[in-house]
Amino acid sequence: MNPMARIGLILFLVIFQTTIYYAIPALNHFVDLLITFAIYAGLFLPFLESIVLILVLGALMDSITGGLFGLYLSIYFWIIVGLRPFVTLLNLKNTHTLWLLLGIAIGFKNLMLFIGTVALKQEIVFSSESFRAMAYQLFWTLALGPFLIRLLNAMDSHFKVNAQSK
Amino acid sequence: MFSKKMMVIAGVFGFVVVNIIALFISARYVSSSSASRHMGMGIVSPLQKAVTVSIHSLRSMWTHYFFLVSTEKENDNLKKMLGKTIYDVNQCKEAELSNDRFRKLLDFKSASKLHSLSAGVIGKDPSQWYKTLVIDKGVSEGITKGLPVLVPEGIVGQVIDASDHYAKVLLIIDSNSAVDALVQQTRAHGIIKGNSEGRCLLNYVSRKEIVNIGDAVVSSGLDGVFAKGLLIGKVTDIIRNKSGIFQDIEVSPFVDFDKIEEVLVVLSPPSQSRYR
Repeated sequence: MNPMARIGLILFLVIFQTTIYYAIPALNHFVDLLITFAIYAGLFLPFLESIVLILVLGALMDSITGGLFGLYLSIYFWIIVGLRPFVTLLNLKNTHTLWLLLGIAIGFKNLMLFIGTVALKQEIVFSSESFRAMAYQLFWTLALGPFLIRLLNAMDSHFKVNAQSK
Repeated sequence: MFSKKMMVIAGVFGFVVVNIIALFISARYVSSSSASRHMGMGIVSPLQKAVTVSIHSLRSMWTHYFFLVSTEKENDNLKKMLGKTIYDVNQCKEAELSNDRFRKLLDFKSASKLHSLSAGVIGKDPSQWYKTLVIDKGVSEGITKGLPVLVPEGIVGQVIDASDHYAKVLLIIDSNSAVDALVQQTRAHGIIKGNSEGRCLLNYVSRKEIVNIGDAVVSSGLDGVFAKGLLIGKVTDIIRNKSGIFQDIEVSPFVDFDKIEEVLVVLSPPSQSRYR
């Protein structure tokens, strides 16, 4: 997949998560597509390419969110930077451990968003509604995330084979 | 002198420190609009609008042509009339309460009409920590930061950022939001703040004030943003701690924030609206 196609994919995922999820109430707090993409980029793409893609993704998300500018950029950057050393350190190269990496990434994202709200001096109220929403999103991301990552990797391999055969 | 491992650790530590400093600088200047934010909105928001229009068209096609054609049309018309009627009833109630208080006055007093612009909701903040919406009107249509945003059922929020053709609205259920309000029946005064549960709290209400569950809460007009008498929500719980001079009041908003598709942005702030 060439870099422009990957940027098009990022735009598609951002639109899907911010617009289609909102338009269909049943999809509220569904799979976190952007964290899933960040994990895929961190594991399967060259490091420099994944950094550039994640900076684009982070900048787009920061422009449409109500939180701190730079927060989503920081979240995705540290996921990319920390992912491979973490996988090497804990010897998690088996693809069956994708669910573990997704769970840790979701937890890290929510922790950073929490720190962002503290930095804005907002009043934090932990409620059953918030925990339910986070648990719901975590469940669906763990359930479907590994399949989406494998699908993205398969698409990437398919486009690579086609490009080489030409 | 230093091993490669030490250099890497030092580098990572340096990056973390720079990141934290950058985020706190961003927090300090969070109210400022930036070219990078507007550029991002300029890229994403047109696509959001295109997708939203497509979804609405498909939904409209399904409901109007494949499913109870005439009934659905009649239902749509009735819903629009009901929204207007709710607004009119509330205005009449406010007028009645004003007349009771000011019945000795001889002059006729009327509120000037709100000059507003309708806008479509095209996107929502993806995290549950921030409650914002993106609308498809911006600076070129007359929208500026700080303008109030309403629906017939009540107050939605305030514009916090506007690019050329799109704007971001902070909802009243966001923790960053604050609206000066009062209880319609008893005129008890407080500040409406959002919480993460999708509801609001009416803070700083004196313990001496009488508030009942079911009372309506409206804007007081004192913050210079929202006109007086706009609906916010109804009282669902009253929290009186054993100590302290205030009571906290839980308010359930009249607006269903999960289902908003269109909003009204008021282009004439209350300071410009004059009583005659």
